[in-house]
Amino acid sequence: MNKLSRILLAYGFPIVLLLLVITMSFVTDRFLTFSNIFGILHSAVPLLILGCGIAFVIMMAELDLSIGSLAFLCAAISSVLIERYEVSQVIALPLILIIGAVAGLINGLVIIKLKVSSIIATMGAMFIFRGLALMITESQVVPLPSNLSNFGNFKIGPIYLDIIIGGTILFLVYLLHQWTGFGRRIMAIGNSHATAAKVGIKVDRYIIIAFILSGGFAALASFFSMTQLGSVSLTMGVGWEFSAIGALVIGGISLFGGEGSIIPGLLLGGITLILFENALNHLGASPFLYPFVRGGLIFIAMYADSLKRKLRPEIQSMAE
Amino acid sequence: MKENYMITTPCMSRTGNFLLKYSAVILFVVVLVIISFVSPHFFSFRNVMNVLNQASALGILAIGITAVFITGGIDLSMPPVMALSCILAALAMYSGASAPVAILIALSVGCFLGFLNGYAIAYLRMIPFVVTLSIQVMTMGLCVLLTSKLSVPIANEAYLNLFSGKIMKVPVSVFYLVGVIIVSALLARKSIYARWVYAVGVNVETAKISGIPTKKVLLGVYIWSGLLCGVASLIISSRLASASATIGQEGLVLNIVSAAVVGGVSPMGGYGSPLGAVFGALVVTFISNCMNMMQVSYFTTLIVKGAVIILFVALDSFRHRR
Amino acid sequence: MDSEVLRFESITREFPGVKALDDVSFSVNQGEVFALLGANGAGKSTLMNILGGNIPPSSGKIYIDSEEKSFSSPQDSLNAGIGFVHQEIALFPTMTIAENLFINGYKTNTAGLLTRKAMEAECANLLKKLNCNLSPRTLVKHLGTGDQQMLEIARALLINPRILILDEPTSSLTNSEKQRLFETIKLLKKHNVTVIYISHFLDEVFSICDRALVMRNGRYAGEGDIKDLSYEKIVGYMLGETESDIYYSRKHEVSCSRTVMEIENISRKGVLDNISFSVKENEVYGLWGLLGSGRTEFMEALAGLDEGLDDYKVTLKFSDESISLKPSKALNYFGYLTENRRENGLLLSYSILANISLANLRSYISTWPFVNDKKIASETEKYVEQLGIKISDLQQRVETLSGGNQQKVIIGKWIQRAPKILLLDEPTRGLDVGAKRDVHKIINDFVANGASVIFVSSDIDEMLNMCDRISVIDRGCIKGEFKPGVSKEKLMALASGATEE
Repeated sequence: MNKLSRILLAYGFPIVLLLLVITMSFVTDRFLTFSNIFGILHSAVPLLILGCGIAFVIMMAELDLSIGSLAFLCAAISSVLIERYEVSQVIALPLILIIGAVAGLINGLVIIKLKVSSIIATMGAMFIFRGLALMITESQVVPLPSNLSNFGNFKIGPIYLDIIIGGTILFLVYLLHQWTGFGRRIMAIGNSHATAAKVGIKVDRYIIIAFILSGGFAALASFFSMTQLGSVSLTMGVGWEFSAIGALVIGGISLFGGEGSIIPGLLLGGITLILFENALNHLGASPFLYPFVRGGLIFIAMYADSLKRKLRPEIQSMAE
Repeated sequence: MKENYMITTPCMSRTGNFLLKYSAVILFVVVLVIISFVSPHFFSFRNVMNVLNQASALGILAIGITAVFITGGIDLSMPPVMALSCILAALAMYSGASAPVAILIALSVGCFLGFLNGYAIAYLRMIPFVVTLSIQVMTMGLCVLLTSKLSVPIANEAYLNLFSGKIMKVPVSVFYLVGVIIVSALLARKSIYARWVYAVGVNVETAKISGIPTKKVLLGVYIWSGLLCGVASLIISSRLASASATIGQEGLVLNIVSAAVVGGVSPMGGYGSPLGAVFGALVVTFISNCMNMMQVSYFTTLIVKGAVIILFVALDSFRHRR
Repeated sequence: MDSEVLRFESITREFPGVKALDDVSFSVNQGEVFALLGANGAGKSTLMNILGGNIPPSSGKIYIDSEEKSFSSPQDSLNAGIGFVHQEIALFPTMTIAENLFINGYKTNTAGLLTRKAMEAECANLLKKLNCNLSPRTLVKHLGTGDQQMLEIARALLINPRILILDEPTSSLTNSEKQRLFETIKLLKKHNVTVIYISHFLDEVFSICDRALVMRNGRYAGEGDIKDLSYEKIVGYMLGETESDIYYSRKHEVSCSRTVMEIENISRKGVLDNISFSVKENEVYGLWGLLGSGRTEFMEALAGLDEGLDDYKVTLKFSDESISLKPSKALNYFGYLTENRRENGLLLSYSILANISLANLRSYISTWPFVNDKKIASETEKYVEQLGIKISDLQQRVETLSGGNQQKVIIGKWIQRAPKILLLDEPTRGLDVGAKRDVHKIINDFVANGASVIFVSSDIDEMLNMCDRISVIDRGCIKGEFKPGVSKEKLMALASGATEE
């Protein structure tokens, strides 16, 4: 491993991001415009919010595949309550946060108490949530009242309102992760469950809390996504978990746990993903090409992640 | 100098043990009883053959994931790999290739994607879950890109007859399933490779120190699951007389994984057999049919199968508490 | 000055089948550096784990300042002012030094946010006291093992302990790091902190400890002021009266046979220092060293399992050919019984049949790729009988066997493959006398048939009984090679850091 490849490993994606921006600004003059930049940030908000929750799960070297379906379920419940049962928005919208958190709690309990691996448990949950959501929407697209879709695309000057809200949330989560004992202990557990238990951290409890957060933020992400789109479609949430995990890994949050940050990590990762699609869009590529590019990008990031892991065997042996 | 201070002995009643051991059989009986109530005429020869026909592709895929599960891995890429295999075969036939060439294409596409999975997992030391998930997304993207979300019709008579005809009123696909069962059961019971696969699944360290080529073993199981995706793709595409990206829909993973876990294959590694997985595939197919007859909606099927997965994996981790 | 700070009274601790501590009583004085000595398995660690609140005693009492205390969790022990530095480093590599030190209780402001400045200042202060020039913001993964060890100590000091337990603190330190640690201990002593120092290395004990207590087989064996003690006396306490008749007595028939393996150089920076020796046909070659001496690391390296080696020059000399061995091919020629049979020697939940045949499946292929199960069963049966493994049937799961029988299963696995050289790391640890003898007899028969064995054990009497030659390894260096007639005291002294005059 020479110095160049080390630098590439450490700063690979910021460099790619920079190169992409430079190239695109030469290719088209509509790329580096205020409206495009804010457009990119705007469409990155749901992904970043989704990433906030699952980040805590990933940082402990666990996984949550159910967040996409859970977001769909939350959107389904709130939209159906509002549209078909005419429940007040003030009740219906906060309710989904509770539903998300409870669903996350159930995931966590299944994983800890029934000792099911998090991949399998959340994979089962993924289908259950999707099934429930389809049941609730009766397999029909649910439109949202105009005040909500107005909210999702409301602008203050050139800036979308949800960029401000999303940015604030991201900052708060950054504080939680970087500036509280809770966040630090999550990182400690991610380094090694065994060592964390040895210094007296209640590992099981933290895992459950992380899944609750993951569920809660999935609910929040569903709110931003549905207000942006103005309706709840039947394919909402499909593949979200992969994009969220991808944003994290591109941003340097290791799937092996214990490494990475919300700001700049998740923020950069999420923006990189969205930026690539925006660039493809500007280049007039077939929309069918998007998932392929996204998949390739995430695969490379994951390869870099495991390569970084391989480069520090001394840590691996210490963690056991 | 690490001693294990805890000695855990599972204290379970005998009925508890019995329920654990035969949970899949019990589920099967329950499903059969419900079916016989809902539709007394279900068990006609024709109908049962029909169900077996449906179960054949799933059975083959479940056998594929069994090997992966035994090593403690997972393969989420199976449905799109299957879709891509038959899409490429169908496209080849569309532009005039013969049936044998198409078959060869389907099988080699499966093996190749399996190789990619296996190489990344064994040699690049990536996590099975993320590798196969990325391959899933990319392969699906490729399928959509190739077909523009349309289906490619298959008109090659030889191809269709080879995989979707009937012999003595029994669908051909059932014979293929039986063939795959015989081969895989023989391999699993008698071959050196299977012994290695199980050993890697129980304890990689021990396997490595015992001189087992652990990396090649890992590579092998993913190629095996890719190959069986290719085989299953032949059956499905000829049944539909077309190939499309929808063959690789996400919901199929649910069926494959639930078939394997219901059949007693442990996703934690080390336990399970192809025969068990095929039994699981049968149970899952009967559940689907049962729910169809009860006119239960698609989404209830999702919920039930999701719950079945969690239930059976929980039972499994209880049974092999390690 | 000599005020008692800690007293153990008849501490007994039983594990299923073993009495790890048997009626241990002693006291430690305020402000002294107290060495706790004993061979592996003497009960030191168990005793300290009881003091640290990790495990409860079966019976007995602990007094601190003449006040009876009972510790049910590590937290209780911390609250009583006991700092514990474990042998294995328990730090989190991706976090900063300050974050690691305060992991047991972060300081926060009223908003619940970390007051990093305050913590980092306190941390820097503490590190400065320990002569550690590290920024509190450095990530732990960038530190060497020595610095990490210092951090462990710093973390224990953060609670201002009155008693500090150091369990084998020097096992991974370089010489200069060790000197720094000793300075620290002297400093602590000045501040009237009591240090309980557990070590295998007697030279260290002589240079910094005030008093020493020796344990043997879970019992008190002797104690004294360090100035009244000598190497010989301590080693005497450690070894006790030996009952040599419990060992299988091997006839040493070194027929000055030919060399089968020449190890020219195996090195890994900081772990193994240019290890070289040669092994002869029919020979049991002993490698004697204490825990942390590098003996297990050497065995792993020889077997080709260590990917970070700096040098690996090994030549195998068979009668018909001479092979320059590559690490990746080493396991084709060696059988390797590891120290942790449960972790990497066995497939615990699988049958005896599966385990014994595991390494040798290739030779049972009848028609490719199928193996002949009948042949496996009959061969396995043969070995089970030959090795005297007591089982009900071959399908029995290995985890239900006793330790001795488990060990025989692993040996059976290797003997069946008939390697020319067998590496045995602690093959008899935790076995009862009968099983030990059996294993010894198996090894003897094995080498009598033309093979060779490299034998590692903590049990010095066993080494002297079994080995044709013995090398002493200490901190990754070979300290000398001896015939079995050498005195135990000499070996023990060498392995504990004395230099050969």
